Amino acid sequence: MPLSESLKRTRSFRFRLGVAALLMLLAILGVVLRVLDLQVLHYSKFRELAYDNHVALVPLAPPRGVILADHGEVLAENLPTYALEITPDQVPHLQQSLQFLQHLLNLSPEDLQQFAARRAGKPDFDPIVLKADLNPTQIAAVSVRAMELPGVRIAAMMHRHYPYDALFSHVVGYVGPITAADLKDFHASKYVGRNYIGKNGLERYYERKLRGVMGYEIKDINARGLPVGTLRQIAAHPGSNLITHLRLRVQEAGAEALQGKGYRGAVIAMDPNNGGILAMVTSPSFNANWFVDGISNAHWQSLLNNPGRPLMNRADNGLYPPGSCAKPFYTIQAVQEGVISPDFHTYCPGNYQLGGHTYWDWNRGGFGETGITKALAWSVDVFYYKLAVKMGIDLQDKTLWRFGFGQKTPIDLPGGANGLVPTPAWKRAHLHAPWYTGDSVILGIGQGYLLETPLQLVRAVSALANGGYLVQPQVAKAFIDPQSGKTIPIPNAAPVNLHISAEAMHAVHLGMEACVNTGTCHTVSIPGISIAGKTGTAQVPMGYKNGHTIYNNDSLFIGWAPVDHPKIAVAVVVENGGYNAWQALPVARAVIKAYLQQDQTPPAPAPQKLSTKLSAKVAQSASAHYDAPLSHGEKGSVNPRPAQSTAQ
Amino acid sequence: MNRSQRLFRPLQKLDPALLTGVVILMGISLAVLYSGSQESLRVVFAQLFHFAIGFIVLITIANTPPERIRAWAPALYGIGVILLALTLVAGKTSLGARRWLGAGPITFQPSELMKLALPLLMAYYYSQQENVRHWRAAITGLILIAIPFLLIAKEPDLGTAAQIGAAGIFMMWLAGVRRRWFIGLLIIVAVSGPVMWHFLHGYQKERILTFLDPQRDPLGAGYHIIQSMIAVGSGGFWGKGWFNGTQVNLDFLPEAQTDFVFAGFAEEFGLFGVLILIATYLLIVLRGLVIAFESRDAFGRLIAGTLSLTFFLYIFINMGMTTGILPVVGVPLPLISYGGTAMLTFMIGLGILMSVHAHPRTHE
Repeated sequence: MPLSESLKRTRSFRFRLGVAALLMLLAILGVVLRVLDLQVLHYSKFRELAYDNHVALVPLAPPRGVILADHGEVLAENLPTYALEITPDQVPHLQQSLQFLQHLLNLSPEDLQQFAARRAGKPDFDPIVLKADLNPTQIAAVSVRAMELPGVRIAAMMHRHYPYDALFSHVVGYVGPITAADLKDFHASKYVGRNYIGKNGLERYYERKLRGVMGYEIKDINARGLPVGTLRQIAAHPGSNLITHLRLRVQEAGAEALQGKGYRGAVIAMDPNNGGILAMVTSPSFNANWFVDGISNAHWQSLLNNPGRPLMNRADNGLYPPGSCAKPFYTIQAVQEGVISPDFHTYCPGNYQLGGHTYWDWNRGGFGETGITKALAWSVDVFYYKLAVKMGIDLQDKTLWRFGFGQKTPIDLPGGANGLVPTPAWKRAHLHAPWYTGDSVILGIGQGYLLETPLQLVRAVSALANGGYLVQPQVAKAFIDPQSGKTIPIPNAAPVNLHISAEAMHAVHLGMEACVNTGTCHTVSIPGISIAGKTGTAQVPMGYKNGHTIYNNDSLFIGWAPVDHPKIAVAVVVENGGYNAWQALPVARAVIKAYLQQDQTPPAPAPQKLSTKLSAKVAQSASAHYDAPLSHGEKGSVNPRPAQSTAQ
Repeated sequence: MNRSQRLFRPLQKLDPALLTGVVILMGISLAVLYSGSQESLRVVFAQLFHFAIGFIVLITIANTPPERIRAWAPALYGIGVILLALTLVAGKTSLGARRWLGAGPITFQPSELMKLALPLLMAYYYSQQENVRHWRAAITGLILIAIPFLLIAKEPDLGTAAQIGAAGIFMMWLAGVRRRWFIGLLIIVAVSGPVMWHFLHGYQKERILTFLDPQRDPLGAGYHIIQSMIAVGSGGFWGKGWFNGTQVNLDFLPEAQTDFVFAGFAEEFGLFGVLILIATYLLIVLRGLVIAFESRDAFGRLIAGTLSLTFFLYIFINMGMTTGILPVVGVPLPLISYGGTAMLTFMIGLGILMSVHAHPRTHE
């Protein structure tokens, strides 16, 4: 090969080598830019993806706070139950294992269907419940065969339980499985790993405190989802225990008086000094335990088909005309505003004529000359027909609003009805008719369009009892921190001073005391206890028959005891089909008696059954709290004035 | 010449630059494999053994003059073709492809042999060709490429076939075959692409589709590339640190010790480590190109240039696929990935480079 040809070839080779090297450098530049793009420009995105890959958050659910009555009886508690859980990817032959377990535990086909439903959409490394609430025989059967059943385990769970079944269902409420609707009110992230959410009553109202604070275990998992270590553990904070003003014996007395006789109605007992709810009974009731793990169809149908509508909390949602129970409030207002003087007298002939219309007294024979005391004691309708005309609708409405009617009563329970205080404007808007004086006359005896709830009544009568202060009803008394055992009182809202004059108050007290001692509510009286009260009979039109309106008469009672140093205010409504209804009176009597004569001594030690169910700490804090009210001097004295630090 | 001089003389043939690069890569390889194997010393020692064998072969080849190596070329090529044909008939099937030839515990991929045999034979051919600009030179080159290419593509192992084909094309380019042939090849590839699509196997189509959109099957075909990109990206600038790579240590990254070792390295050592790794590779490749540039021997410079460019091609393909800019093809990261066979091939290649450099101008 000639030298020049060789040189030419070398030059060509070197040129082509250079071209290749240049392309190569461009290519490696591309790789560097790509790595720069991934590692610098998109670093945070990929860091997050890597984190999501290997970190799993395992929620640790705290125990829910228990709910206690004032004396420490447990109204809502957590019981350990045992469930059979299966982790599908740890079971070598799932179908065979399921068949074996079905035979071993006598499972129904529905159990297996539910298992399949729970499993749907879950990763195979998640444990799935096959059977909840195992009985001891089933636990034993699985335990002895644990070695043959890889991936099958018995898990302990906390099950919400209401020891008094139906007794406190409307006030304590109940928990149930979490639904999408619940998560509109509560943040979904707080419920990962939980089974329950408060659905009603205190369980709902104090949900945020009762549920506690979720704990988390942050686990390192590998590509197969198996945990390889715990990175961090954030302990759960148990829910606060809740102690209420509720008194078991009072609640039982009210329930027995109402439910025991098959009445439909409600009774509320309240401490008139601070608004503490001592008892709140609605009849008929239902078993709160039915709802805890989701109500069965049979139970649900039985509640829906019950004409008594057991799910309705009549105490706060039932709407009734107050009837004569409105009379004391008109009297107060009329005296205070100078419409009548305390010694005002008028004649009752048994009816009242206005504009060609006759308004009958309930006693068509008439009461004769009637003053305030007699008018209240015997519920003289004609006296109040006349008073209504004297007052006029504006003053009547002012009276009713002042005592809290026509607006939802603030209380630590969800729901609650507004009631209705009719005004001329309301009548025009809804009935397209002007307000007649006759409307005022009917309103004067608490009838007509007026509607209230038993809770509004008990709050209003408390203002009569305590010297003119509108208190705010409250069921809960204090939280007990489950870890420190410390009691954290839940302060009652400051009462509103209605500025009722002493003479007006005195006039009404005389009348209401006379009502119990000699008048229409004499059956309430208890020897040794001074009681003030007022009956009410509300006519509720139910329809027409043979051209006449058929009325349903509700029997009502409001009152308090003792008269001068009030400890309990009561409102009772009994829905009733008869005339001259009196059924509310024995109910009120039973409740007052239970509170003032039976509940003042501490109860026998809680049954063993209950105290073992409580964790030691809860029992401790409950009993610590239970000692507290005794130091206020309630012990032993017949008629002591209770602590009323927040009442005035 | 005393005893120790005799003992160290073979080492004098070793090129310091290339040797430095290889030693750095060996350090990186052992470090990455130790972390990626849950700190298994077994893996580290096995890889160390691969390096030891590799070094012995490298030193041996470096001490072999290029003309001897050149003389083996036709025989190596012939044996390679026979073995490839044998593989198709009697090879071991693994993952749907016949790629392995084995007797007892020893298995062997004949395509690995071809990675060296083809460039050697082509360098052999072009170094004695008087007129490389003649069409006969181009056609002969293409035929030499086509025989192993088709045999390997039939296994099927299109990735390896393409790499071997690319090496042949590099050789033709450096040898001086007329440019119109390359332009023609480019046009043929571009035009035949859509036609070739129909001849691809299902998994091959899948790989290409997955490359275009990894999210179309994130837990299946796209899983490798997604996890690999997460590993690289989450490394950041400084990396998560040795043993701290979650993608690699918790098994999210598949093939973390073989084909996807780069992703594990990038996760633990970050962009900083990647730049050091690339610099090391460039040191080796550029040194190889300089050896080719300086060589006055036609065979020597052709084989040195081609081997350097092929070495680079492996690096580029591997890094490209682990970072998601190239489809996934089974290519190890040279001298880092765990395994003995590929290591041996690379070490022989480096040995040839050193031989070319250590024996200047002996031929012609």
